[in-house]
Amino acid sequence: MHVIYSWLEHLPFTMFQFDFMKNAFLAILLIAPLFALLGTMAVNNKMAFFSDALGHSAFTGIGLGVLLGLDQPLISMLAFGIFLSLVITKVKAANMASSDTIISVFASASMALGIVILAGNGGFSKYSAYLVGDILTITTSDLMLLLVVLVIVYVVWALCYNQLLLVSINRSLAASRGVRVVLMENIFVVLVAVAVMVSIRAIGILMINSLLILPAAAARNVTKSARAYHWLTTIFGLLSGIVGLTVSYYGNTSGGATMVLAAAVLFLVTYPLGKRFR
Amino acid sequence: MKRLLAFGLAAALLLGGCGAPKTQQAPTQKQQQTDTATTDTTANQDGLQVVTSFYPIYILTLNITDGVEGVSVTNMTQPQTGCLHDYELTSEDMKTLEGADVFLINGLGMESFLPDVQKQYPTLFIGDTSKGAYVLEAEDDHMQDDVPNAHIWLDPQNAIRQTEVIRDTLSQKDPAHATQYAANADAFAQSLSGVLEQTQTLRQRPESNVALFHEGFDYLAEICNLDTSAEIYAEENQEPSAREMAEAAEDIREDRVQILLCAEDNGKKYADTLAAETGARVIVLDPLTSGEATKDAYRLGMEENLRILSEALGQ
Repeated sequence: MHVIYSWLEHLPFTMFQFDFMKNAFLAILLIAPLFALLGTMAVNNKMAFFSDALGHSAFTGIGLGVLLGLDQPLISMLAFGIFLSLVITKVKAANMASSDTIISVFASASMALGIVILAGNGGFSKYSAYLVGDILTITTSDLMLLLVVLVIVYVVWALCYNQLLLVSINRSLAASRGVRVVLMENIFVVLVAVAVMVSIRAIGILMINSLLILPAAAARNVTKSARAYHWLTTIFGLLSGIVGLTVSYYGNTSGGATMVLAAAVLFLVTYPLGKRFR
Repeated sequence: MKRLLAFGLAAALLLGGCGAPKTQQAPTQKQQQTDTATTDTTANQDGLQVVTSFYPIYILTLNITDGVEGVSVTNMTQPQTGCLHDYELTSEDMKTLEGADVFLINGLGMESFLPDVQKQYPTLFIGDTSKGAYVLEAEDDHMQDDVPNAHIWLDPQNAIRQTEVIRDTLSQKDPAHATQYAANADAFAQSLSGVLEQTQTLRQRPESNVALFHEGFDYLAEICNLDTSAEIYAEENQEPSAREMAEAAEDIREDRVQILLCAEDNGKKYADTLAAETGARVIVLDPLTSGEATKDAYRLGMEENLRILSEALGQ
C-alpha cells in the first residue's frame, strides 16, 4: 500500500497529498474495470433495468442488516442481492409476463420493503449516505474487497466468456451447442449482484447503475469488435471515474454524480459517431 | 427522472406510513407518564395534555412536570428519531397534536414542519423553548447568512433557560400548578450544578483546538473554551465534498488538532477518515437527541460527555 501511495504522491496533483483521495482514486481503478466487464454484457443482454433494480434492492439489504443488528450491512446486502438476482432470473424464465414488468415488480417491492424497515426504525434520513455514496471514506479493507471481487470476475470471464457471449446472443443456439444456459445466466447475475453491492458504499444507490451502463453504452456506439468494445468500456470507465473525481475535488462537487456526468458526456459525444460504426 | 420521482413518492408514502411502530411505542411512554404524572384517569382526561416535538425537549419537560398531577407528556417523535432535520410529519404525529393543549418545541428552525402544523391547527398553543437562549450561529457556507445553530440544549445554561420557558408556558396554561412547576424548574437548575462545575473546570484548562463533526458540539466547544479548527457536519445530510475534506485535513494538521469530536452517526466515518489522514484521535460524544425516556437522562448524558471530554483533553 505504501508503495502505491508514494507513487501517487509523485503525480503532479495536489489532491494526492491526502490519503483519502488516494484511496478514492484506487477505488476507481478497481471499480472501473470491474464494471466495464459486467457492463458490456449487461448492455448486450439489455439488462440495464435489471442492474438498476439490483441497486435499489440494496435498501432491503441494508434494512435487513439493521434488523439483524449487523455492524456493516454488506453481508445482508450481498445475500439479498444474490437472492433477488436469482429469483428475478427464475421468474423471468417462466415467461409469464414481460421481463421489464417482472423486474419492475421486484425492484419496487424490494425498494419499498427496505424503506419500510429503515424509515420505521426512526428516520430514514440517516441512511441517505447510501443514496449518493461516499467514495471519500473508503478504507483499505474496502479496497481489498474490491480487488478480490475484481479478480474473481476476471477469472470467471477467462473461463466462461465464450459461453456467456453465446447465451447473450441466442439462448437456443447456446443450448444446442451444449452450453448450460441457466447456469451461465445465474453466474452472470450473481456477479453483477456482488459487484453492485460491494461498490454501493462508494458510488451510491442512485448512481451505481449509471457507472455500470454508461461507459459500456458509450463504447458500444463506436466499436465493432467484442475485444475493442471491452477495452474501450474499461478506458471510458476509468476516464469518467478519474475525470469525475478530479473535477469533484477541484470544483467542490459531489464525487459519484460528477463521475456519472462525465460518463454521460462520453455517451453523448460518441452517440453521433455511432452511424459510422454500423 | 421517473425512477427518481417514483422513489421520492414511495419514500413520502412510506414515511407517512411509519406511524405504525409508534403505536407500539406509546405504551412505554404511557408507563413513563404513570410515574411522572397522575394515575387518576379521570383527572388525566381533563388534565393538561403536553406534547413535545422531540427527545431533548421531552426530557426537559419531564423534569418540569415531575410529580404534577393531571399532566400527561407525550413525545411526538420516537425516542430514537434523533435530530429533526428533514423530518416528515406522520399521520400519527398529527393525531398526537390533535389532542394537545400545549406543543413544546425547541425552535430556531429545528422543527422545519412547524408551518404545516400551524396551518393545520391554528389554535394550538406553541411554546418555543429557544426564547432567551444563548444562540450560536451555524457555520454553514451552503446556506444563507444568519442561520442559527438550533442545538441549544447542549449548553447546560441553555437547557436551564429552556426549562424556564417550559415552566412559564405550562404555568400559563395550568396556573393551578404554577408553584410546582416553579419548584421543579429550580430543582432542575440545582441538579445541573455538577455539570456546570465540570464545564468550569474544563474552561480553566489551557486552550486546545478541536475539529467538530456534529453541529451541536459547537455548543460544547463554546462552553468548554475549545477552539474549533475544522467542522464537517455530515449528519445534516450534507455529504462533504472532496475539497471540504481536504481543507478540513489541512486545518487539522496546521492547528495540530489532537481531538475530533463526533457522534455515533454519519459524521463518524468522516471523523475516522480524517483521523487516519492526520493522526488525530476520534472522541465520540452524545448529542442527546435520543436515548432513555427518563428525566435524569439529560443530566447523566451531559455529565458523561464532559467526563469523556476532560479525559480526552487530559491526555
